[in-house]
Amino acid sequence: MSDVIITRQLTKYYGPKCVVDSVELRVPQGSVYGLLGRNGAGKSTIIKMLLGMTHASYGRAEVFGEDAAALRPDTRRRIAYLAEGHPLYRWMRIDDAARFVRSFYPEFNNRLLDQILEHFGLARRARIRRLSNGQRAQVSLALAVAQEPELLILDDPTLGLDTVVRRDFLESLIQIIQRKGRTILFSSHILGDVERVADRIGILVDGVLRVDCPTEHFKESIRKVVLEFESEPPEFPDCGGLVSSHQVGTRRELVIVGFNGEHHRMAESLSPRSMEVLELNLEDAFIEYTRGPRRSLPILAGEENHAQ
Amino acid sequence: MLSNLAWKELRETTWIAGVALLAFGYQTFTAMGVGLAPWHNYGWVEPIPFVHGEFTAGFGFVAFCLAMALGFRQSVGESAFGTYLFLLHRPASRLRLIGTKLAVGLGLCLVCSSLPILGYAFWAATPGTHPGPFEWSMTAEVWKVWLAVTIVYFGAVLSGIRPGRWYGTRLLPLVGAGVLAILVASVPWTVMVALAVVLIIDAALVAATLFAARQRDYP
Repeated sequence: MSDVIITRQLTKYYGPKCVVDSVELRVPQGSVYGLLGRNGAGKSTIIKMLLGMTHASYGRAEVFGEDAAALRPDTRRRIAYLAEGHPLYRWMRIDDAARFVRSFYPEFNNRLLDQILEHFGLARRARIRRLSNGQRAQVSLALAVAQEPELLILDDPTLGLDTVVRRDFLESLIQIIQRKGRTILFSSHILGDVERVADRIGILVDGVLRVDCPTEHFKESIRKVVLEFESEPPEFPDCGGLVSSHQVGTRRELVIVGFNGEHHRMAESLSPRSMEVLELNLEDAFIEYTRGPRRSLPILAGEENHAQ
Repeated sequence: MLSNLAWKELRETTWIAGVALLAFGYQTFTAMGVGLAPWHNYGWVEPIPFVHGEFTAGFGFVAFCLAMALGFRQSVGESAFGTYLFLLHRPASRLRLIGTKLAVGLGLCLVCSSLPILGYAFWAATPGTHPGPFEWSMTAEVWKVWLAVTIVYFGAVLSGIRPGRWYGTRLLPLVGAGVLAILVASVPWTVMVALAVVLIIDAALVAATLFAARQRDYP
C-alpha cells in the first residue's frame, strides 16, 4: 500500500520557538489517521504545511508524491480540507457556498451534497451566518465530501461542537470513510473521537511525533505500573519504552510502552512491597503520554505549604 | 471558476463602492452648486470647473479613502474572517486567486471613481449650466489623481497581505504608496507621463503583493 502523505524531518520555527520538530509521518492510502496532541502541540501547523499554507523551516512534506509547498491545482483538487473553525463566507447562503465551491471542481457531486444536507436537515436557502457551529461544521463536511476527494484532511473538526452534534458528525464521517476507501487525516484532542474512527494514530508532544502506530497497537502496548514501597521510592532507571515516572507518596507510578519481561525484572530489582500492572484505555494512555513531567508537582508543593 | 470568485469579491465590496458613490455624489452636486444638505457651503462651487482645485481635492480625498477601504477589505478581511485557508485551498494557482481579487478591486475602484469625474465634466460641458468656459483638457489634473488612486489601492492590498511584526512596518507599503500617489498627482506631468509612472509603480506593487501572497504563512 503506498503512502499518500510522507514527511521527512518536517520542522517549523515561529521565531525562536520550534513548534514542529523533525516530524517523520507516513499516512498509508486508505487509512484513517488520527493526529493527536494537546493544544499547541503542532497539529494544525503540520496540516497547514501539508497543504502549503505554511512553509516548513526545514524538511519536506509530500502529498501524492508532490512537494506540499507547491501543490499543483490538479493535485489540490484531489484533497478536501476542513480548516479549524470551519471558515466559510458568512454572508453566503449554503447554495451560494455550494455554487462557489462547485465552480472549482468538475467532479463535484451535487446529488451527494443534497443527500448530505438533507441528512443534516439543512436547507440550501439558509444563510451561513445564521447557522450554529455544529451546522457550519456539517456544511463544511458536506461541501468537502461532495468534491469527491481522494484525501480528506480535517483540522480539529469537532472543536466547539456539543456531544450530540459531535457524535452525529463522526457517524457521518464513518459513512464517508466507508465510501471508496478514502484516506483521511484528522487532528483532534478528543480521544473518544479518534478511538471511534481512526485505525492509526500519531501523538504529538511539544511538536515531536512521539507515537505513530495502529490505534489498537498503542492501546495494547501501553501499561501503567504502580510500585508500592515502605518508604521513599527509588528512581526507576531510564530505559526504552519508559514514558513517565512519577512519585506519589510512597508509590512510584510508571507508564511504559511495550511493557515486557525486562521492564518487569527492572521493577522487581527495586524490591517494591507490591507491584500492579494496569491496562490503560486510550484516553488515559494519551493523557499519560502528553502531560509530561509537570504533573502533580504543583499539588505536592501546595501540600507542603499546608503541612507547614 | 474565476467568474464565481469575481462575483464573491464584488459581493463583498459593493457596499464600500456604494458608500463612496454617496460621498462622490454629495461632493459632485456640491461642486455643481446643488445644495443637498442644510449645511451646504456655496464656497465649494468652482467658478470655472476643474480649474480651481476644490473638486479635485475633494475627489482625491474620497477616492483615496475608497481605494484604502477596498484594498484592506480584500486582504485583511480574509484574515479577519479566517477565510484565507478556505479560499487558498481551492484548486487554482495562488497567482490566479489573488490576481482575480486584484482585478476586481482595481476595476471597481476605477469605475466607481470615474463616475463623479465624468458626471461633473458632462455637466460642465453642457451649455447654460455655469458661467465659465469648459475644455476637456481642463480635466487632466483630476484624471491624474484618478490614476494615482490605483497606487493607493495596491499599497493597501500589499499592506494587508504582507505580514509585519507590528502595524508600523505593516503599513509601510501604504504610506509609501500614499506619498508616491500624491507625487504623481501634484507634479506637473502630462497625463501620459503620469500614466507611464503609475503603470511602473503599480507593476512593482502587484509583483510585491503576489510574492508576499506566495511566501507568507497563513496561520
